[in-house]
Amino acid sequence: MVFSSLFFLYIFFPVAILLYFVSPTLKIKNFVLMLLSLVFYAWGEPIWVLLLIFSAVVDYTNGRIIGKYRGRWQAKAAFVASIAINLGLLATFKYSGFLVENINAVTGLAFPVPSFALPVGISFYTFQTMSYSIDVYRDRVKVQKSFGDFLLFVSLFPQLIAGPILRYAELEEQLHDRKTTPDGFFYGITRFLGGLSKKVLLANYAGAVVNTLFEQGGPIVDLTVPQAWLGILMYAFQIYFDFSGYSDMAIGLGRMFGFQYSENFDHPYVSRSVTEFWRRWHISLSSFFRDYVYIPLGGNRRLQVRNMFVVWALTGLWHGASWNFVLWGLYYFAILLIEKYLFKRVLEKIPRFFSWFYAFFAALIGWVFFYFTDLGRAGQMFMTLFGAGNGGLWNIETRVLFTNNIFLVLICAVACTPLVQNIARRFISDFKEKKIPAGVYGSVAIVANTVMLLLCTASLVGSTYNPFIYFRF
Amino acid sequence: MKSANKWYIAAALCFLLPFFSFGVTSIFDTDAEVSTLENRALKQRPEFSVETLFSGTYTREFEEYYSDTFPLRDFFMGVNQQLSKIYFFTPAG
Repeated sequence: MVFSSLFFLYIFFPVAILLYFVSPTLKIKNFVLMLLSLVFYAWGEPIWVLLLIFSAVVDYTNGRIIGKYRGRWQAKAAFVASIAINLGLLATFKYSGFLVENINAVTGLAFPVPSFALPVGISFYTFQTMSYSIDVYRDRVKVQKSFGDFLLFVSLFPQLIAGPILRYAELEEQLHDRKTTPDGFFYGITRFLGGLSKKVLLANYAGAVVNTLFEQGGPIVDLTVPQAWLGILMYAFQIYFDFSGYSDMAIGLGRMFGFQYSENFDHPYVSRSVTEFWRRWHISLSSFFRDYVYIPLGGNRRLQVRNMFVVWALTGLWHGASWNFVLWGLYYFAILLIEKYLFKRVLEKIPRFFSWFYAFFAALIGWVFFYFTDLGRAGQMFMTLFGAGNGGLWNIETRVLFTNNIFLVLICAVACTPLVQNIARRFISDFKEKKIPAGVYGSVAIVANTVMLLLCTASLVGSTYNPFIYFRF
Repeated sequence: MKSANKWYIAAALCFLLPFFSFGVTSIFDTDAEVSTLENRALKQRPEFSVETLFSGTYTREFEEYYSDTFPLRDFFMGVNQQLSKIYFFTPAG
């Protein structure tokens, strides 16, 4: 099930809220939330829900063994088993087809290529359970004795399908000690609707333009230069609003059930360097790789360049089993390396506009690698972007395209900045300092939320284009 | 703080209202079979079978049926058209 569907909004969500809040104790609430989460997952993946439970059983058991035999070989064996099984699941379901294809290509042999349907969210939940095993092994978190609580952590539906990647350490306390406050609940609803609006009212529309330009027209080389740039700009908007919108929805839903999740996005497109971009983009993933790969490899104390290389190749591969994602990761490895050793200082000195432009440009080029899984088409796209295509500089279609989408581009551009968030924060703090009366605050908030819900519902009823772009992750 | 809490609870309830009322209505209303606005047959409730449940087609078709027969469908379609006009801007003349 995805959040941006009418069935989720009007059936699953109200039922979940009702069952959760009529449950009298936190123990029962946890149990209800766990059942709801399994139903949520099973709704879309009726078979693979067993894999999710299997993954939870494995890490729960290994956690218990590690705790019992701490410091002895059994603990080490359980730790290795946990990592091997998690990575094994990922390797089998996500990478086996890719691997065999490449072996066939290199050796000229013809092994049958396995084709598993990728279970939704597997890249997210295997990382979550691994964080538990690693942290138990390092003695950073206590062993979870209750399987129910552990399964709740693994399956918790708000972030199950598209992150943020939660670490067990972050939720450990919250599993048995949390409270939904009235203002937390209200914040949660607002945050959820903000995220839903990003996904349904911005990402889907931007995505429709991308789809028309790159998938429904002729070959990429026949686009005009501005069409190609508008297309990749729209893709940048689509993926940001889709992904960060999904994180907002997860954070908001979590808050309604009393959970505090860390932020996953912090307005990445205002960054003034690529280094900054990656501190603001998909924060839970980059910090996962930092803490569980980069630092254990030696971080910046030993073989830093190698460590960076490994992290970025893996980051790329995590996004999908295809060479273009590896290239995308290595592209960032190269830029970050150059930034680190060459022009970090320069970026700090030049006017803001230039450093912003550079970072945004770098991100757009990155999205070309990311979008085009077919490297031949990526090549065509680069030619077109830089004027070596067949489309020329301008034509009637280009003019129509730009006039049609002028408002969409403007709205998306504003929505990428922290402007809306700042206004909302100011409004809330003014209310808390009693500068504006509760009645005004309440009415504005209710009207804003109702309008968002109305527009999202209308858009979901009326439009057929509502893609789910995490199927590869 | 107490009075602020009351506001939050009232606001939250106010807000949950549309979710619940549309949710309940969507279950108990009679479903249309054709859309005159779009001139097409709407999806009907899929037949349940163990096979379609485990292959995932049942839930998928059920969601399609659910969207197709959502209460006030024509009204929402109209709102969506207005929205698309803003996004898909065509200057007069």
